[in-house]
Amino acid sequence: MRARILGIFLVLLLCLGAVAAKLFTIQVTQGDRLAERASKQYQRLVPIVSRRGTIYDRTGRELAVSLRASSAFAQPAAVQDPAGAAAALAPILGQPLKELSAKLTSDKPFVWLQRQLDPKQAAALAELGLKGVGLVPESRRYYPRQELAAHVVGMVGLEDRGLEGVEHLYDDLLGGRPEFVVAQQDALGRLIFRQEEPEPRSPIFDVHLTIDEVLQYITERELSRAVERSGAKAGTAIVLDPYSGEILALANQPTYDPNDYRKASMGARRNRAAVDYFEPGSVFKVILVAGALEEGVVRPTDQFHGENGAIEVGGVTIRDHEKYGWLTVRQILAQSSNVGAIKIGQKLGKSLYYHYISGFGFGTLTGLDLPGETPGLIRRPKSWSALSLPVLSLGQEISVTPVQFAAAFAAVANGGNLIRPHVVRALTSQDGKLTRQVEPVVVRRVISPETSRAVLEMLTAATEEGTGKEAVLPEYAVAGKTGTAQKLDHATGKYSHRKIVASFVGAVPAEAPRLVILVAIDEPETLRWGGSIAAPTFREIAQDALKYLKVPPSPRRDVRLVRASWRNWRTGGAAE
Amino acid sequence: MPQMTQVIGAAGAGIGIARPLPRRRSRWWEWVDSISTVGFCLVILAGALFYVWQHVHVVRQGYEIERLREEHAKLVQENKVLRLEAGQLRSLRRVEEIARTRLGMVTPKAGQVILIPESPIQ
Repeated sequence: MRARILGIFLVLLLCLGAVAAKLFTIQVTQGDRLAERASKQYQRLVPIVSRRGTIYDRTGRELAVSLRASSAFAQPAAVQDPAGAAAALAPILGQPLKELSAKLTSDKPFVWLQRQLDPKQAAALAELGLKGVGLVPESRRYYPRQELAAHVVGMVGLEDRGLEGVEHLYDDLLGGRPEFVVAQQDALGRLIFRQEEPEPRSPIFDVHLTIDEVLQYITERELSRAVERSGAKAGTAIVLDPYSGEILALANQPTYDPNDYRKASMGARRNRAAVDYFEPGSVFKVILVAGALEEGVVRPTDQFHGENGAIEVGGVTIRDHEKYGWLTVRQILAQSSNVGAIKIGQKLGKSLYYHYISGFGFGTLTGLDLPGETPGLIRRPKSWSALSLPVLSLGQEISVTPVQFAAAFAAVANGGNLIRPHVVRALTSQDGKLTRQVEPVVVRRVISPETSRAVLEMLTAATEEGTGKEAVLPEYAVAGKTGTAQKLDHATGKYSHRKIVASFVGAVPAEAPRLVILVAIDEPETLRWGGSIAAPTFREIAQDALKYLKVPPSPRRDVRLVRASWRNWRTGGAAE
Repeated sequence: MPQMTQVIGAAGAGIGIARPLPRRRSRWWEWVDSISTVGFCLVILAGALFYVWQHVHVVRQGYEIERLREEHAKLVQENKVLRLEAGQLRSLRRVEEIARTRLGMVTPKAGQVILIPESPIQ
């Protein structure tokens, strides 16, 4: 009896021992490996859709937003009927049947069929329920205003990386990198628990631009009309606040829709305002006269002889479009006399002239917060030839970007301070805790307030009495300058008579400038003068912009305007 | 009750060694004993059930949280899509086209709109 009990006890002991040994093997020896295998079955990585920051205009209207989008993938090994699947997918994805079939029969374990589908495409694909074909959530960038401010906003590529414009330069702050969280799933693959979404590796910001949607639209519309009307190759227009340096509008033609940037040519995507440089021509006389007045070498009433429209310098004859006699400095600017400008330049001298050229920011980057800006081209005085000073007095033998010239003209308009132009005014973090405000930056004082006032008065006269008549506004005084610059023909090495850049730059209202507007039309076929194509475009932009900003009319004009309105009300017509 | 004894051996002839018989437990104590055993088992069982219920409840809550998370994400997405559509419909080019073609509006000529500077209230 006792032996029997002992025997049963030993058997039980052996069984328990075996169980204990197995437990030890599972828990201790293979514990880590088995735990890892188990976690692979009930844990998986879940992608978090990008939270890329939004880009707004200055009034809070959205110019770039990110939405969830689905991307279609296939695991070719799991696709049961590749030919049938391809036939079903082709009309939804809009891809050729052959291409889809190749993807579905590929050796790769994973292939993308199409990234960032439309919601309708995603829904149609999900409805098919094809084995081996699935959808994964990603982010897609949308530009609701389409081509508006395209060269400022830029666009992103497939991996949510900024490629151009603000999207590129502020890519790190806008964020939007793919991130993952660990989640637990059940036997059917349904998620049960997931890790809390981690804080982004660095804060994500929304970007607030200085661009005003309405001013941008007005500028783009008028520039587009001007380029079309004149048959030009391209055009640029910039609207700038002369005191803060905020760019309120920046337009280029041709342009493109960032929603479909792959279809756009490189020329259309080019931000000509900052990347292209041109020889400014007669508009540069503003810089010459400002420098000469500041140095005291000339006064507005000083007279120079126009040599009947021709002057010989360095073995070359340079002509005016009219045969002028005596002209004051004011008249030289108004009539854009080349002879007069050359004489002023000779009085100023090359050293001082170069001092003002570089003082106004030419030959250096403005610091604009857009990618690809070029500094333009200007040689140092030691490299100048005998012809350089006269030619530079006419705004040739120097290349500037439109943004550079707008910033320099803003210095003339705001009392003499060169400011840094910029397109971003503020950054706000998405939780609202952080805000970075972009403050105006004064680079340096170039001319005195007295010189600034004197130049503005001369330019006002130049607009009303000279070549800039087409820029005159009935309600506002305009201080501006036309320019018609010949382009260098690289084939012949000489200046072309056919290819020109027609420009107009002005500050308005002249007595207290709120806006500096620059218009440059590249190679117009018809209307080939700054006064005939760029000046009217300036007028149209300024007219609508000032009304939108509710700027009161210039003092001398409001009385005339009321009289005109009264007269027209009585006669039943509209004021001209 | 007089104590019962049991003869367990003999010390000698006629002499028995007795030990007191274990007292028979009263029925009441037996009843208490049974109840407490059952009760103890029930407590263990309840504890085990509660433990399991907790897990099941947490998993169910997990499903519900995921469902609500998806619904929230879907609503946020819908909101963003609608805002995007609204932005596209408000595009100024479209607004101008409607104003000109359907509403017959024109750009005001110079003098038709006069801005009067604000004056401070006296």
